[in-house]
This record gives sequence, structure tokens and C-alpha cells, in this order.
Amino acid sequence: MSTPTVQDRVLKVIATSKRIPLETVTPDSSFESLGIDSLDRLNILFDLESEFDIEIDDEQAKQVTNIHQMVDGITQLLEAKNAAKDAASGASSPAE
Amino acid sequence: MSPSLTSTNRVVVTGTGVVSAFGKGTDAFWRGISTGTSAIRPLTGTYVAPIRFNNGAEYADYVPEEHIDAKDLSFMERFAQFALIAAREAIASSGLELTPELRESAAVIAGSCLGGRPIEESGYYELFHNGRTRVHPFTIPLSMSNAGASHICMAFGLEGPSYAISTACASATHAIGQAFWMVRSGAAPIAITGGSEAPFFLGNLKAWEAMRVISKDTCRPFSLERSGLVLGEGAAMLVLETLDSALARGARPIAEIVGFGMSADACHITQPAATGAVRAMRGALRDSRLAPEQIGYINAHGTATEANDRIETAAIRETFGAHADKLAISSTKSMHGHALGAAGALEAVASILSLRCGTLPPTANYLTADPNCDLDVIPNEPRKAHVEACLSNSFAFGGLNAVLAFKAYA
Repeated sequence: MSTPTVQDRVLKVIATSKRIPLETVTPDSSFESLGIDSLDRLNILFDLESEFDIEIDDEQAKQVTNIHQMVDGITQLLEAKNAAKDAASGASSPAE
Repeated sequence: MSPSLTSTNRVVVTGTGVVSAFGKGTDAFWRGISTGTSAIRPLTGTYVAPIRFNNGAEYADYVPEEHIDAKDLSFMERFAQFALIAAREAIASSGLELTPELRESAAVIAGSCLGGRPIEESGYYELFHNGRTRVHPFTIPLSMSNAGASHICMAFGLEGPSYAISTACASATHAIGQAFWMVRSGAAPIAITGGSEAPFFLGNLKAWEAMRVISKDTCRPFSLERSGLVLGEGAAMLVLETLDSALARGARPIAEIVGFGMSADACHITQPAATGAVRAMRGALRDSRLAPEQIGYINAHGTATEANDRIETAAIRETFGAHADKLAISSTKSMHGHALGAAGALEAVASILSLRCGTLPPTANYLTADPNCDLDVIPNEPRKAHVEACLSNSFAFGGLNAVLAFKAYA
């Protein structure tokens, strides 16, 4: 089985957090159609931070209005995290 | 003749006590808010984990030993210390002589949202992190939310009805309202009432951080740039008594407390609903027998969250109709922070002193008008105005609303 994509993992987090069947959550689902209110959003953000080991800023989170934006935002945060990790390991290795 | 339970005494405030980010005392508090000075500053505590916001309204140079007897300190968490210090000032400033008869029936009703939870936090850290097998033996009496009320009773020998009220951000307003009704009905001859809170401990800061309602900037109520609340700490206590007893002993009332209204939104655990706020304001007006046009000022709940300020504005418009545009409104949370279970008491003191001093405290940190918050919010500069009566709004998470009405005592 192939590694799940960021999008797969986001959909799964939403379904688990909201306690709804995974097949009802698609990348094009609106938060409204899934019945996601402000508290559900908090819960999903919290679960996404755990799933991807990232920190999602309050202001960034407020800009997100659909699942596509959510996946894009998380992809960017993951890229930034990996870049920071590479920079850290790159900086320390020559000194060894 | 002893008052009957069905009497409707006029009830006045004859003493106030405050502990806040402005320091100890009603004077320091009033000097701060009546000049539009914000006490919101970078947090001074050191915490074992990073926090995603930096600001709070702390009483940063508070030294417990300067205010509380050494023998009592080990039995009192910070919130209970604040409650006692505020009660001491309130009773002293009222000039009330606590006779044996008064002590036997005086009421003490105090609000707190969190109580003394820091002692639980440190105990749990020892249990779960350091592998200890026991917690401090005073964990229960230190942490219980009624500890503030109990310490006030013990310090002054007050033996009448006493309890704590915990309705999140409306705790103190509910407490003062209950105490008011007890004195008005004759159930108690006097009451010491208000609220206290000490929310600056890691577990609580993390819980608020996770709610994503804390501003990383500062508290800017009703402003387009508002980005959430800023926590504050402190306590405020009032002495309530009947107008007759105040006049009989030659005391000068600071203001009259005339109405109390409450309601539940029954809607959502965190999102406010205007209908509940409207019913609470209407309830306070009805209870006070004031016409809406007699209200000149509202000390708003004004947390500076996107939802509260928009919904509160709509609720005020619905309650007051055309008169809403003649009302002056401010959120003093912009200066003393959101002190949760003490907020309503600090704001009651702000309301009473506004009536007494003829100065309306502003909404500080205000930048740009928000079309959704289009009332006169007294931006940044205090205003000289003698208003006849005012409301103090508190709308708690959980949709529990409480509103007090005060009238100037001429």
C-alpha cells in the first residue's frame, strides 16, 4: 500500500475528529456541509498539529475556509519544518 | 423591627475593595482606568513550556507576605488571598461596624472561575512527571473555589449565608446579583460580595492558548483590529447594605444597586447568542424599574473576541432601540484584562465609580471602527459625563449571562 498523502491524512483527521464516516469527507466538501462549527475547527486544528507535529498559527488558521486551503497550508508548514531540519543538520555536520 | 423576606429594601454600595494589575486598592484601579491607562504587559512568570502569547494583566509586584499573615499564607492560594485583601478594603472603606448581630447574619457571596487550581497543577506534576506518590495535604482546601468566601467569613467572623458562584466569566456578576437580592429581600442585612481570580499558571494558560481566543497583540475591544482577549488577575469586593441602614449610621452610599437580570443562551457552549444577552439586559432593566432611556453608560462584557463584540453590539441595539445611539459604552477589559471570575466585580467597581465621579472610563487600545460594532465605545479617551444609571454586562462561556444595573446616588 502506498504512503498516504497529506490530503489523505487531513481527510482522515477530519473524519475521526468529527466522528463521521471517512467516505463522507472529500477534498471539495465545505466545512458547512460537514457541519463543522467553530469548536469543531479548534478540535481539528489540535488533531492536525498532533498528526503532522506542526504548530498552526491562530491567524493562519483563521484564513482557512476550505479543505484545499487546509491541505496547502499544512504542506507549506511541513516543507518549512523539513527545510529547518535540513538546515540544522547541514550546519552541524561540517564541524564534526 | 426585623425586615421581612418580602420587603423590597433599597440597596446601596457603601464600600469597595480592589486588587488588580494596577496593584492594591480601589484608588490605584480607578486612577488607571479613569485615565485610559492599560495595565496589560509582557508576562513575567517563568513557565516550563513555551506559550504562544506574551501579554497579560498581572499584579506583577505582588508580595503575599506584605498582605497576608504568615500563619494564614500556607492555607491560601493566590485567588483566596486576593479575595481577602479586597474584602478587607471594602469593609474598611464602608466604615461599617461589624456588631455581633451583623456578623451573625451577614452574607458573603464570592465568584471564581478557576479557584485555587495551581496547587492541583503542581501536585499533578509531582505525581505524573516526578514519580512522587503523594500530593500536598492542603490540596483540597487550597483549591476549592469557595476558599475565598470561606477566608472572608473566617477573617471577619461572618456567620450568615455564604457560598461561591462559578459561572466562568460571569461568576462575580452572578455573585453580586445574588447578594443584592438577598439584601433587598431581607434575607441578609449586609453582604460582602464580588469575585477573585488568579489565572496565570501554565495549565490554564495552555488551555486558553488551545481555545485560540487569546490575542498575541493586546486587548482591543470593538476595534476592527481586535484579535482576542488578554487574561487579567485580581479581585473586587463590594459592601452592600440597605439604604436605610447606611443613612442611619451616617454613611454616604457610593451608588445604588437597582437591578439584576440573568439568562441562559441554551444555544452553544462557546458561541454567544444575542437573544440571551438581550433577555439578561431586559431582565436587569425590569428588575430596576428603570426606563431604558435612563441608562447612560454600559460597562460592556467587551472581551475583544470577534464574536463577543459583534453579538454584544447587536444585543445592545435590540435592547435599547433608538436609545442605543445615545448610550456610551466601554470595555475596561482593555485596561485590567479579562479577570474571568473576578471580571464582573472589577467592572461593577468601574461602573459604580463612573456614576460617582462623573468620568466614564474609555475603551483603550482602540484603532479603527468596525461597522459591526458601531456604538459609541468611548475610544481611548475618558469622558466627563454625569449619567443617571448604568449597566454592567457579563456573558460567560456556556451561554450564561448576568447583568447588573446601578444608579447614581445623589
